[in-house]
Amino acid sequence: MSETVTVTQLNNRVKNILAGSPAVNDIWVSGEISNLKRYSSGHYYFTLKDEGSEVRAVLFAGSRSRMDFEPMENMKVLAFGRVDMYVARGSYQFVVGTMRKSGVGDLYMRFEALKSKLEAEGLFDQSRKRPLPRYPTRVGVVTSRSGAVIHDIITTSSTRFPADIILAPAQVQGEGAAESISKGISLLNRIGVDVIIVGRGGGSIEDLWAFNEEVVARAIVSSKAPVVSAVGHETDFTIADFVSDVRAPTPTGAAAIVLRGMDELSSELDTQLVRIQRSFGSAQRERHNRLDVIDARLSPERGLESVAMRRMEVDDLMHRVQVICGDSMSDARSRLSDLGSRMSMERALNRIESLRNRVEGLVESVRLKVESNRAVSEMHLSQVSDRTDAMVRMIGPMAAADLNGLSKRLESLNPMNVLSRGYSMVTDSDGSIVTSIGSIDTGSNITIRMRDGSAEAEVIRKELNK
Amino acid sequence: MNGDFAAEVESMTFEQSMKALEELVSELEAGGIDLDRSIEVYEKAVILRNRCRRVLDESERRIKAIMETSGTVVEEDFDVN
Repeated sequence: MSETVTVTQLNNRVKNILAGSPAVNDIWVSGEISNLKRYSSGHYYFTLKDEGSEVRAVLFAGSRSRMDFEPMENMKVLAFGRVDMYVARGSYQFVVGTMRKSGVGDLYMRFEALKSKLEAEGLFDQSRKRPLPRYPTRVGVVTSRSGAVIHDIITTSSTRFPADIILAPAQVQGEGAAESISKGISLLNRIGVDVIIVGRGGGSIEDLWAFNEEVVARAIVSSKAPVVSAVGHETDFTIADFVSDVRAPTPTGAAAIVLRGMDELSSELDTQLVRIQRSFGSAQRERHNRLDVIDARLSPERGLESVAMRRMEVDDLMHRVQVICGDSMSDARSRLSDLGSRMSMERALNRIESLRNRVEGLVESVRLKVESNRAVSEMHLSQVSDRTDAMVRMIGPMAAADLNGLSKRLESLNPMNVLSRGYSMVTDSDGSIVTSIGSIDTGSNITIRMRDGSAEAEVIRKELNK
Repeated sequence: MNGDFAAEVESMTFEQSMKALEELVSELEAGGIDLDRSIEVYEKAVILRNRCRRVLDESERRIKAIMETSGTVVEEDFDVN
């Protein structure tokens, strides 16, 4: 006979069975929170669900106080607790002792682990950071083809340095995103760009997760072109941000960092020119000053001053020259007159010497004559000797007289003396003196020599003296 | 001579022009160069400045997307919108 129980008894029996079953006690249940209600008592009532089922759940205020986050609608959680029967309603519910955000804990641990590992390799060192090119001509971008990132970058770049933008489209979230991003980086490096921007817009930690993957970090590290990361919002930090050369807060910020503004470039150009003008100007002023100094030294007063100085110097020099020259001129003059007197004296002496030689020659010839005659007659010796002596005695004065006569004749024979008396000397074309009218022909050329010169003449007519 | 320089500048990249301009400025600021040289430097600086300005004014950016299909890289114009 079957037992009859009340509804209350039934529900109490079920409650006891559930309470005694390890299969539904102290277990972790993963699901998503929905229909969340928080009561003024501090208790939370919600539904935990997955794709196929759902269960009522309660989180009492006491348990909530031991948790470090606020349960939110649609939050994926791991709830620890037990199944309990609500007898009055005949329904069961999951009583949550504590909760963890599902996945996040794992992701956070993975993030920390990779961060420590890469940091230990020195990949975050400031010394590794490369400077960005000042004027890139090709900017590579790795991001979604359809997202706001590429749009923001293109918009921002339009007012900046005119570089080409080359997009390597990549999947930036979900399965395979990390591989897609790292492939984009290596592709841009292969075609050659000056700098690479890697990024995506904001999102949950799961959405940004690809940028925390090691494969993306490695691709950034080995990129030849410097990498600027622009992932999520300003507050989000990913591993990509740590290993990139520059971290930009947003994609727009990345474009502004990579490409300098036109205004900035323009004013930089102007600054350079102003600097040139300024230093040119100051150098020019310096040149003017130098010129002024020189100009001052060239003033008329200074000029006259120096002329007077020069004049004094010249006077002094002239004086010295006169002293020296005066001495040497009078010296030379006396030497000259000395030479002159010596010249006429020598000539006179020479002439006397030659006359003396002739006299002695005469005396010698007389002596020889006497010597030869001596042998003729011994008898006449004394007579002859006497006569000879007498002759010899006569010859001395004769010779002296002869000398005088010769001197006078020499004087008279000097043709120049004759000419100085007004006579002329005529020579023919051979230079022979013409003494007879017979030795020249009419029409021949003759030279007429006078005291102070000569003249060429032609014989026009000749006439013999009668 | 400045004609030659202008031709040389035309073949420079923007970066090279800026570098040349900076060097001229430094040279002039260092002082000790004579008047002829400083006029030459100034003229060259103006040529470089004008060239840089022209690059900025005239250049048009190209926006491309690159793809890799079966190992070869292809560039295609990227539609901004």
